[in-house]
Amino acid sequence: MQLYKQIFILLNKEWLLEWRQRNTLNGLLLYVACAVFICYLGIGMKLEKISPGIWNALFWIIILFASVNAVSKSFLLERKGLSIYMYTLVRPQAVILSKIIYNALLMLIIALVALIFYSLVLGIPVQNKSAFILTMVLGAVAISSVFTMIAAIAAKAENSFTLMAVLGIPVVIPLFLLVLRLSKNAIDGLSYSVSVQDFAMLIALNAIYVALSVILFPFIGVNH
Amino acid sequence: MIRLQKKSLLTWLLSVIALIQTFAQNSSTEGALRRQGGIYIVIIIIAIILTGLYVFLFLLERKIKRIEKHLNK
Amino acid sequence: MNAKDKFIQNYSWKILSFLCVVIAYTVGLVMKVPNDAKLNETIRNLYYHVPMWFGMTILLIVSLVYAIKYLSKPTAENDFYSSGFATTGVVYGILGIITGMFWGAYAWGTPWEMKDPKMIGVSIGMILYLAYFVLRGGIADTQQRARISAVYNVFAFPSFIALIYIMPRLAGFSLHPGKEGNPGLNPKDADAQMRIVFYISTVGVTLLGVWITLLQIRIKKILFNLENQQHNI
Repeated sequence: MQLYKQIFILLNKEWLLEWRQRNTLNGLLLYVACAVFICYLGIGMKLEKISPGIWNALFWIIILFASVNAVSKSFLLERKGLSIYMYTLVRPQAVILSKIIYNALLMLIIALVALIFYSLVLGIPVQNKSAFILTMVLGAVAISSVFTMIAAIAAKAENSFTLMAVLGIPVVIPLFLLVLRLSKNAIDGLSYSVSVQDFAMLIALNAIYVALSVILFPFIGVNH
Repeated sequence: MIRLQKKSLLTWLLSVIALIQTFAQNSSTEGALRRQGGIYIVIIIIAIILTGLYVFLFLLERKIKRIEKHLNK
Repeated sequence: MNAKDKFIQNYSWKILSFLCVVIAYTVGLVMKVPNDAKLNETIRNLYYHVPMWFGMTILLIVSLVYAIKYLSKPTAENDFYSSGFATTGVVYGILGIITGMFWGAYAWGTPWEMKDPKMIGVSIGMILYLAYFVLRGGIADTQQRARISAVYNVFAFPSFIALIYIMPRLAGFSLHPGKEGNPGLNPKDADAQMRIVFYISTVGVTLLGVWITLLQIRIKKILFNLENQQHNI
């Protein structure tokens, strides 16, 4: 069976599992909503308009922590017997790629929901909208590709949930800083020519992390 | 066994950092250090590097002691 | 290989390290330095503080190389090398941070200037490798620990390089000397003579780190063999 077919089947399976027990997805969305509301209570009530810098930082911090929660379950909550059986059927590359794609899509949904809540309570001060959306897409892929692999690593150790944040956040920080800067540029309405270097850098790092995930995942092994 | 090493390394780190903090915050010593174009800063930095390396070597020696214990058993 | 060749192979680089460190550390203290109103004599820290960073980077790259080696050929020895070089690299990095705090206290007035992208990058880089050791502590099985930590070592390395060498350049400003946070030397601050002493110091300090690491690895190997023997009995 070809790689893309396997990826497609696995994606389908992930989505079916998610859809059957909607409580995790709902919990995640509620988490984002709560976080946005707390930000509003903490800052928005006092100041009529928060500065774009703070808006930007809060938005991405909420997404970062939501993503730690969302991605951590992708390897930690799998039933061991079932996953071992499944991984004998498909290639490990297909497993990691499907997880990355699925988590990136999940991240995009979370980011969109967060954006909607944000627009309701804090407004959207973004001026260059297309650049902001491009940043969101690249940021979702970046964060999901790093955290998916980290989740696979952390699943092998004791107290995986704590370890997930400890291992993942230092790795994701360079990507996160780039995303923060790009979205700040988009909010300020700067044109693409200003941030083209950062975009290239982010895409390059994305490519490195996806490639490293594909190369390194077979070494982690699925059997416990 | 590995836990033990890590704990000792951590305590070493914390104590060194605490020492540096007290040094750095003490304004009177800083005044003295600033004299003569800050050559004392250079000397302190050399001392820190040597101290760090020595502490690291002491930690290594503790590992050797563990081996000796093994052999005596 | 005869005994003489072996002797040379064993001791030449250690003697080289000793000579380099002694020469650089003494010459660095007495040699004439260019006048700099802000740094004054502390410009000499170029021979003591900066080689720590170069040494750290080299040691961590060696650690990465052995992690890759472990993944292609999983032997206990490769794991010892990988984790040993990472330990020494982290120790060098911490020494670099502490010495940098003192220099910063003189040159910038504050020991911890968090606006500086290099300081931020390096402290996160150290957290990255401390997380590596936390991960190693969290896995009980020896082979699994070696494999998983090797994977993390390789996976985290691009981030480390991005934090230390690429982010400060992109940030476009730094309190550190050098063009826009460039890790290289500022030709205005460092003349040719200073650079020679600096390179000698870097070679010496790095080789010293390699020696310490090799001792550590030998101890680990002996412990490993002893424990294996006990199991066999």
